[in-house]
Amino acid sequence: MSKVVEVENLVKRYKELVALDHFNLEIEEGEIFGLLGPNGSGKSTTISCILGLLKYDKGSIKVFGKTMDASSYDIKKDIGVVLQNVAVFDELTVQENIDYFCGLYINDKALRKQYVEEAIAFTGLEEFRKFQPKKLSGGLLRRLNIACGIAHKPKLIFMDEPTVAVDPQSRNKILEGIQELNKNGATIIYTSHYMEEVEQICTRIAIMDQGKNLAIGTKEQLKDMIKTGEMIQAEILDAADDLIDKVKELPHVYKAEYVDNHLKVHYTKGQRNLVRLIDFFKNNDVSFGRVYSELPTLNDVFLEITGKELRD
Amino acid sequence: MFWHLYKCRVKILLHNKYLLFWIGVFPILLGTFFHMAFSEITEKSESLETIGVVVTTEENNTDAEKLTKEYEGFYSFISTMEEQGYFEVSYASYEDAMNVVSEDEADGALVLTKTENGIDMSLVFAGSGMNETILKNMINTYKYGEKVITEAAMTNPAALESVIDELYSEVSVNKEISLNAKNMDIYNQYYFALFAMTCMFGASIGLLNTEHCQADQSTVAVRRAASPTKKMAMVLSEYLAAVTIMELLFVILAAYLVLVLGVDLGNRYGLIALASFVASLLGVALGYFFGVVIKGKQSAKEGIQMAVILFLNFLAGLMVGNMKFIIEKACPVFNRINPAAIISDCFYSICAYDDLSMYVRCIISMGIWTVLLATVSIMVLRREKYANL
Repeated sequence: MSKVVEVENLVKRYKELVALDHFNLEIEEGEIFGLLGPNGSGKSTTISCILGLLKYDKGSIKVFGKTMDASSYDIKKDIGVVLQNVAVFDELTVQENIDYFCGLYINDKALRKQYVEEAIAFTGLEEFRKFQPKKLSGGLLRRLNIACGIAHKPKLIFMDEPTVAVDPQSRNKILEGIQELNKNGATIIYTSHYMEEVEQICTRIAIMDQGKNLAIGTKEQLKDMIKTGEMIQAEILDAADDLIDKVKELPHVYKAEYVDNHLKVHYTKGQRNLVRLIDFFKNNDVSFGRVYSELPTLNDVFLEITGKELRD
Repeated sequence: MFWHLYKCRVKILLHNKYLLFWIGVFPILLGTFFHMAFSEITEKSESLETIGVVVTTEENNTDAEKLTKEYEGFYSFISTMEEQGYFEVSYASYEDAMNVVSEDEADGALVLTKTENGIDMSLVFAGSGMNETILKNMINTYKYGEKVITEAAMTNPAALESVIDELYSEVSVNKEISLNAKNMDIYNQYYFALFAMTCMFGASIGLLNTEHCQADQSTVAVRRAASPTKKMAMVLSEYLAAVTIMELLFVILAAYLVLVLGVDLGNRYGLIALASFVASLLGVALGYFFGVVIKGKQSAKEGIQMAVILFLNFLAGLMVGNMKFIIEKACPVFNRINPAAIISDCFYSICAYDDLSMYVRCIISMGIWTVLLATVSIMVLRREKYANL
């Protein structure tokens, strides 16, 4: 597999603020690559730099093996962009908008017409083709935004938080669509601060914070990077004073805490942790209510790496 | 690609209600108001009556008519006015004349008084209407001319002939720069000022185009900047689309004035069309210029642009009639460089002069302005990377 995007030591400053701090990234062909990070972590800045829109202070960017610049028109023709904010003309209809943006890439009128129809069908906007954007719901508007970005069948698609402010039903449709685009051969760079989305669709993920690439890998690799392998919570009304100390002596437990009538036990790894804990409760006459086990999420990964919640 | 961008931009502009109102509907409304107001004035002017003048004197035992005939110049003036139907002259004793005026049987009494050098005259009115004003102005004009000639005859008789020529030439200058079209209405200058204002409002289209062209101004511009389409193609096609819309709206406005309101714009449609085209180029270029030099949000740019344009229009006399003449006296060069003044002068010259020198000068000035503003705008717009988005 060839490298589609190579970013090396990228530094971007907004006056005193360092938006990207020696940022590195490599994306392979055929990936759905997730850039995960809280608002202001530098995801959109990274995309703008890769697209050749933003000046940067240091570093190099290559797309399809060639140095990317604002005037790299031969590279740009194979790139699609779906922006965080809906970028369409209010004065044009759905069909006209898709045709307009497709026309920035495709000169051939007949081919463009075919592509526009395919994009309309792909995003399920057939019934709304004559509608003006302001008459569309939030979800439909997002779909139009996507249609405008992918109608010309790009090889590389940047999707900058395309599901912001979208209802769950529309969000699922959008995510399914992204996976389909990928199956059809497009490499996708997907930014989001919704870890569930990234976890659901991305083949590899980079975790960003304060302009830095903190960790990169598949979701399994990222989860392996952190100490927590499993977390079990148990509802306990009256915990004995020495309960926490006894729990900490159980195999693979590295942390235990009792908060709001809930015992939270963190395990590094291991199997049969739940069974062992329930046996422990029985043997020590600990009366417990609901007990459940959780595997680590990307939020746990982010929390452990940065010391803060992803949605802070 | 160029025509795809051009066609889409025309569509976008044609669906922009805000622009269509200010550049399309507003001038039509204003033209309608002009027409209503001028129709009323014209009707009043057409019904102007002959001014009744009763000539009298305060001298005892002196006949006013006899006194008038003693002074050839004055008698000639009075007779001419009567012959041409401006005055209806009667003679009466002072007491009778005052009665006639107070009873509204004459508009004014012209009271003659013998002096060492001839006669002096004063006016007595009972009211203050249009007829009284005209009578006062005519008598003042006569008195001014008489005074100049008398003084010249006393101080430098040799120069008398040249003074008379000079007085005559003051009148003849007006004759030389006569109205071109036989049937040209004097109120047309207001309609041409309306054309000028419409062309200046074209700046709004230019400003909107820059918003869609600068990635730090709109998300649409970001998407466009990420595409392989060259900025130059975008700017030129959209500039052309803006001028097309301006011309379309201009034709609708002119057609409405001529065909619906029956305004007579003369017969120089070719000159009007050329002026509107060049003025539209300038108006749109002005908007592009504001769009690239003013930093900040689009709403702030719109506000500043509108304020500047209205101020330039004000200085060009498009709001207060004599402002341009005040500027012409105080700082004439400003009228030569103020785009609003140049555009209005260009249209005015079509209706006012046979001679095309002023028209050509204005067209060249507009062309120079357009090239300057467009060059600066294109240079900034061609920038392809931004410090922030």
